[in-house]
Amino acid sequence: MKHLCTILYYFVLLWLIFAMPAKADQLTLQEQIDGTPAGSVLVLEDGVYTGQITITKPITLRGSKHTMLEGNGKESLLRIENVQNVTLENIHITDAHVGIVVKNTSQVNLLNVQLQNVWSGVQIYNSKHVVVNNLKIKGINGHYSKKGNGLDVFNSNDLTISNNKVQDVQDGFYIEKAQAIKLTDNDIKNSRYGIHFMYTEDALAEQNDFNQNVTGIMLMMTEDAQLQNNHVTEQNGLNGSGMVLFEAKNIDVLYNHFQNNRTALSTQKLATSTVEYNTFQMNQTAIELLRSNKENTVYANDFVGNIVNLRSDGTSISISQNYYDDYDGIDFDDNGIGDSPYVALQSFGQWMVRKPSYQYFIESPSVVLLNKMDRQTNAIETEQLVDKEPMMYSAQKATTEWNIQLWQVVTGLTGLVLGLWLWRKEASV
Amino acid sequence: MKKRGLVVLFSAVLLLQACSNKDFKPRGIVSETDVCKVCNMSIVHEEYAGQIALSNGDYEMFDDLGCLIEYMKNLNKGDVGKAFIKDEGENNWVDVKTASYVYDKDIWTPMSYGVIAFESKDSAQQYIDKEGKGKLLSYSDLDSFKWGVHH
Amino acid sequence: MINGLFIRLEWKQMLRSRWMQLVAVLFVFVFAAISIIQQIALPDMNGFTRQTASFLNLLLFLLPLFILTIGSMGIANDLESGWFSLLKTYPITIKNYILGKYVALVLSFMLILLLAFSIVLGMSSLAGQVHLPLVFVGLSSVTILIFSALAIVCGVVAKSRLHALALSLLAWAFALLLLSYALMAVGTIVAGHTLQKLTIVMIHLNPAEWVRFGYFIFSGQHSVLGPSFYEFTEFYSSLAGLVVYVLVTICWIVLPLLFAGFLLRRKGGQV
Repeated sequence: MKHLCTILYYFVLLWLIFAMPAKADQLTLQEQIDGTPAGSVLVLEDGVYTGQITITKPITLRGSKHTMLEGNGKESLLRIENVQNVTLENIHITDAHVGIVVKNTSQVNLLNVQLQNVWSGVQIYNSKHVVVNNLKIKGINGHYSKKGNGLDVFNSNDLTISNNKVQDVQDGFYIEKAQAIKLTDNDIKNSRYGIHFMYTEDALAEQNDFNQNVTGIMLMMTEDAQLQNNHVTEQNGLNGSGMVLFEAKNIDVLYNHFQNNRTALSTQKLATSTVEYNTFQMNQTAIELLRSNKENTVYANDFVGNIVNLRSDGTSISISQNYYDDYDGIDFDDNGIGDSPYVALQSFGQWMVRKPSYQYFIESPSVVLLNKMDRQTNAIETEQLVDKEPMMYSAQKATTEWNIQLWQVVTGLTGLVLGLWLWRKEASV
Repeated sequence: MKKRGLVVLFSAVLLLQACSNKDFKPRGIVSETDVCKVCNMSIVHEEYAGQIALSNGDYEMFDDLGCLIEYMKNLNKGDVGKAFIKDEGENNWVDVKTASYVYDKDIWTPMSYGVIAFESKDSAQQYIDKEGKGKLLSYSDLDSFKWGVHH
Repeated sequence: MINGLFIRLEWKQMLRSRWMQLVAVLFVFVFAAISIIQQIALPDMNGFTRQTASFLNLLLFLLPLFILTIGSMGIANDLESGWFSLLKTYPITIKNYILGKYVALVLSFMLILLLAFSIVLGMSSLAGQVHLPLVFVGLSSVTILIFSALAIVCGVVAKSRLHALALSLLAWAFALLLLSYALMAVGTIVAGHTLQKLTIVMIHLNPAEWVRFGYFIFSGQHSVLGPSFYEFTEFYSSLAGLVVYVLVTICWIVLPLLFAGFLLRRKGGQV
């Protein structure tokens, strides 16, 4: 009897383990959601779920380790509409036209969601109090003009978007008509624009990493934004730029690191904005100013190893206390500020602004010489692109790693000895 | 020897430019390289794109009608050869001067200016009837149109 | 056999020349200095930066200058001093003479290059960061091959050593500076697409620009030249483009040499 009980017990256990999920599979995900009371948590077992899903009541949908929603690549897979308090957690989504659509909602959280092979990842319309954390979005293959955006936001406010990784999409984040939006610690690469702001107010982009996009941050018709501590590297494609600020007001660009971009920061019709404490390192052009003439300042930045530091179309701007590695003045009174002004105006830089074909001559021998002559003739320039108080020392120091590579030392020395020996031998009578 | 050749070549090219034909045709979009002359955006939504064939043979591309009109305003009349805009839906280039336009604040365009172009007044009217929204504009209306302040 | 002997003789003379030794020291020194200064100051990055640009410009400025002056004056000296007439009494053809001169010139500068790059390699690895792209080595060789041929033309055309010096300086200035300035000046009047076409023409007609352009193509940095050259650089990045690049480079070597031979034959007839 006891044995029988044990066997029965194990049987029930086995049945629970294997048969239960099979039975659950018979209910579609939509039916499971419909059967879940409002306000409760639906935990999804491991497995692949297909078919479109719509959530219209306040629930938490939580996936297990291998919970996967699979679409057919043609339609939007998961819709969250006209609802408050929905949380989506721990889910893989694959093969959808649009992974998740969020419309007319408030208090929606999207956490730990992976989206793969999607034309567009997430679209958020007319919503408020949205949290998007730890999403991984990977778009489809092909040219960016044939793809959707990683995450779209339209007409929404109070959004926190952080710790996301986005790659291979058109725009990583496309933000249109949003208010109070925070984008922090995101990582966007191989896309058209990392973050694309349009008609947005009160935005913060902090500690994001942009790598190999056409443009890191494209900010247009936007007011009151802070872009700080971002790492902007290798936007060096044909039209690559680190950040482009277009028709914007009250933008603070602070403590960012721009490295190896074609143009690090391009501004157009910018007003009452500041560019402070940034590092511009080894960009082809560090700052380009076009038609931006209202109370903008470029203050206390480091310019190191750029080909063109500043160029403009005649736009005036207040430039002061930056460090330029090609400044050749001296500091007699030892206050850390050079005694003579730094003139960034270069004829070539100005030409390049006007006609793109001049780009060919960038840092060519003739232009290098021209710049040297400019240095002499422009010493009397006082208006355009002049920093009257250039700093003598950089605030930051580039770190150099010391690692001696033996084979190179050996090859170098061997080449040298061999060359000298040959020379001596052949030259001797 | 080489120098003389160069001089000949230079003058040949200059001559060619001087007598370039005045029949302005739109050129195709190269999505890898073409960016809007005004706002710098790469042109990925070809259906809204515009372009100006300048009288000197250069082309300027635009991602949105609004950018094109703004650029036109700052050009000398003589510099403009012909300006083109993509027809909504038809995806072919039409002359901006003869096209009809529809504006509504809910119409999405790359710069969200909300104005789209149609080859004929009829097709523009049809669009308005079908969508149940929109305001018909002509080319001359665009000059005084307030771009990008409707949000 | 005679030819081999002649090349060897020329090469020995080249290496013995004080001027050549001075050039070698100068070249190696400047090269090493620039690379060390730049590499300590800036982190190592792949891409077109001021560091790579100054390396490239150093090559483009110095190598052609030295090759053109030394090469052309060598030949002019032969013609002026009667050494060439003496040589002609030996069973040596004009073809052999030019080839001998050319090979000796190329080899000597290759030796200088070997010294310079060895020093840079050895020192930069000590300085911590190492970057000596192979493309620089390749293009320096192309520079030597092309400009040595041009140096021979300058030498043959010149009437005296001084004339040779003047001619080679003129050729150098044209290739490195004047043609670019002329084009930039023209660019301010003509339309953008005309400037673009003229630039493409000039890239092919100016050996210095040809080498510089080669740098962008072979280091995979065509985007540096900007969107207006997109289709042009796309072509040269393809296999067909590579073939064309090699062919044009060969033309830049062979045609000047043939031209020099032709001129020398005519001159020889007159002497």
